[in-house]
Amino acid sequence: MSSEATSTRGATAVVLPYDDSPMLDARTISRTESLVKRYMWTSTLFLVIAGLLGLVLRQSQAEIVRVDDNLWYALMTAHGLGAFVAWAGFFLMGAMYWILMRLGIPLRTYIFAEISYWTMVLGTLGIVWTTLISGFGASWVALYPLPFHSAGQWSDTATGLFSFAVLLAGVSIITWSIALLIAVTGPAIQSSRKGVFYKLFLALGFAHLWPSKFKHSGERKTPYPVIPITVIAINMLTMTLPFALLLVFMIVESIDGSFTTDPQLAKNLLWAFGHPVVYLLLFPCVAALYYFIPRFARRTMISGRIVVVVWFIALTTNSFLWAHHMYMDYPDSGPQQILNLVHEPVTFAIVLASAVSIYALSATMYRSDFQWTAASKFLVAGMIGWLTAGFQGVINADIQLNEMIHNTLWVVGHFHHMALLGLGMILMGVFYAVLPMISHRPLYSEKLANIHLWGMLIGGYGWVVCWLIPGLEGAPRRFAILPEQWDIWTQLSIPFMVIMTLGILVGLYNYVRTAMNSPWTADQQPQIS
Amino acid sequence: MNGTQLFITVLYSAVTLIGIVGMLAVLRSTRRKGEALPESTLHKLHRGENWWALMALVILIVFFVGTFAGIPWLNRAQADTTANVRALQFAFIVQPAQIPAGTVDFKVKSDDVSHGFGLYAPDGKLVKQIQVLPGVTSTMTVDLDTPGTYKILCLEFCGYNHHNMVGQFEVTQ
Repeated sequence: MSSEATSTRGATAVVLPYDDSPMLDARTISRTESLVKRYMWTSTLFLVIAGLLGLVLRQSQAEIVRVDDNLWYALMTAHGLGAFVAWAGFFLMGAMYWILMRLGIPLRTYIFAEISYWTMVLGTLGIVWTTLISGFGASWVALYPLPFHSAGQWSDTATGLFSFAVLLAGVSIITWSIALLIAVTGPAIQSSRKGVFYKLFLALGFAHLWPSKFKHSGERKTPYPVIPITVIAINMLTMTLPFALLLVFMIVESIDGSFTTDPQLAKNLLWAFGHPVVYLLLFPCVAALYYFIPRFARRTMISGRIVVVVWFIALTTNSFLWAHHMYMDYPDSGPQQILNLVHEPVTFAIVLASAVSIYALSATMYRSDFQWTAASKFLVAGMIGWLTAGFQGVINADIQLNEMIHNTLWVVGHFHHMALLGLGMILMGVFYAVLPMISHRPLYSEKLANIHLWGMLIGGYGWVVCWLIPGLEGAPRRFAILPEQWDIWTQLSIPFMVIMTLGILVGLYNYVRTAMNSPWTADQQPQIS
Repeated sequence: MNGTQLFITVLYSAVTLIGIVGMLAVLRSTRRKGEALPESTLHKLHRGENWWALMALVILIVFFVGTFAGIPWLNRAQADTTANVRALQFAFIVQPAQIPAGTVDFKVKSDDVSHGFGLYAPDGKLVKQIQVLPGVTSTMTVDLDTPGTYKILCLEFCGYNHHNMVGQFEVTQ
C-alpha cells in the first residue's frame, strides 16, 4: 500500500506485507517502542511464574507431588490473577500502545502509561507476596466474606494487603484506560468539531455508520482497530470502579472488624468488574486481529457499518451483564432473580461483536494472497480457538444449560481454551509480529515458531478436553483433590500439559533469541510485497 | 449423562464442527495465489456481513426464548417433601436424612460464607445445583425418583477444606 513510507519511518523496520501506517517522528516511535518492550517482557516474565504455578496445581491434582491444601488454593489464587491479568492483560495493554502508534494515534502523554506499568508490577508482586508468603488462598474472586473466614489459614491483615495489591492492579487498568482515551480523543482522530464526546463517537467509528452527522477533518475515517480499543478503555474505566469500591471495603474491614458488607452486594460488585475484565483480553485481541489480518491478507478489512453497531452494543451491554456469573444465585427474597433474568439477553447481545468480527476477518482472508508467517499462523490459530471457545461461552450464558456446568471443570476448560488457545495464541502471534519490529531484529527461527505452534495446538486442545468432558459430568472446579471418579481425566491431562509446556518454552526461547539477534541492517530489512 | 448434558454435548460438537469446517474452507481459499477477487464477490462479502449479523441475532433470540422452559426459579413443581439444609465450613447437614422419592424442595442456608449446593445422583453425576449466600434462604426444587444415596458437593469455593465439604442423604421408595 505504501512501500514508499517504509524508508521514511525512522528506525522502524517494517515486516508486514501490507502497511499503511502514517509517518511519525522518530522520538515518538522510539519512546513508544521502549514502553511497549517493557510491558511485553515484564508480562512474559509473569507468564513464566503463573505458568509454573499452574503446572504445580495440575500435577498435584494428579497426585505426582501433592502440595498442602491451603498452599494449593493460595497457588490457585496467584495463578489465576497472574496468568489472566499480569500476563495476558498486561501484555495486551502494552500492545495497544503499539497498535495505536502504528495507526498514527500515539499516546499524547506517557505519565498514565508509566503509572499503569508500575502499579501493575507492584500489584502483581503484592499478590505473589500475600498468596505465597502470607498464605492468602481465597481464590482470585476472593468471594466476600470468605477472605475474613479463613479457618485459621491466613490473617485479616493478609486479606487487607491482598485487597490493596489487587487495587493497585485496578489502578493500573484505570490509568491505562485514561491513557488510551486521551490518545483517541486527541488531534490524531482528525475531528471536524471540538468536544470530547464528539471525538469519542468518532473513535467508536460513527463516521462509518452515520457519515452525514459524524465527520473527520481529513479523508481518513477511524481505523477499525481503534473501535474495540476505545470500547474497552471506556468499559474498564467505568467497570473497574465497583470492584475497587469492594476492595476498599475489604481493606477497611481488615483494619476495623466491625465494618461489614452485604455478601450479595459484594458478589454483584465483584462480577460487575469480573466479567468485563474478560474483555480486557478479548477486545484488544480483536483490535490486534483487525490490525494484522488485513495486512497479512494484503487488502483492507471487509467490513461496513454493522461492525460499528455491534461494537456500540458491546460498549453498552458490557456494563450490564455481570449477573450471568450469578445465575445459580437465586435466593427466595431480593432482586437477584430478576437481575439474572435481565442479564441473560444482554449477555447474548455481546456475542454479536464476536460473531460479526469473525465474519469480517474471515471475509478479509477469503481468497486473499495471505502471507503465512509465524505471526499470522498464531493469529489464525487464535481465531479458531476464539471461535470454538466462544461457542462454549454461549452455552454458559444460557441459564438452563448453566445449571449443569456452573462451577464445574467445564468452566475451567472453557476459560483456559479461550484465554490460552484463543486469546493467548493471538497474543503470541502479536509478539511474533511486533517483537522483530520493536527490536529491529529478524525473527530467530520460523521452525521453532512452528514447534511452538504445534506444541500448543496438540498439547493445549488435549489439555482442555480433559477439563471439558468431566466438567459436563459435574466434576467440581477449585478442588485441590478431585473425587476419584475423575482421576483418569486428571492423569490423562498431564502428558498433554507437558507437550504444551514444551511448546511454550520453545516459543519463549525463540522470543529471547530474537531479541538477542544481530540487528537488521538497511539491506536486510524485509521488502514490502 | 442427563438430557441437558447430552444436549450440550451434541450442540457444541455440531457447531464446533461447522465452525472449524468453515474456517478451514477460508484458509484453503488463500491457496489461490495471485487471483484478484472480482468486484462483485467483494460486494457480496460486504453485504454478507449484515446477513451474518442478522443470522447471529436470530439464533441468539431463539436460544434466549428456549431457555425460559428451564429457568429453575420460574419452573418449580409442587413439592412432596421439604428438606432443610445447613451449609457451613466444611459440612452439609440435611434434615431429614431420609427423604421419600418424589419432588423435593431443598431450603438451603449458610452459616458463614458462600457455598454451592451441588446434588449428585447415586451414579455420581450432577443432578442440579444452587448457590447459597449467607443471610438468605435459597430453594432448589428437584425430582428425585431414583432411590439411593445422594451426595452433596460444595460448588462454591469456601476455604482450604472446600474439597472435603461433602454431605449425603438417602432417597427411599
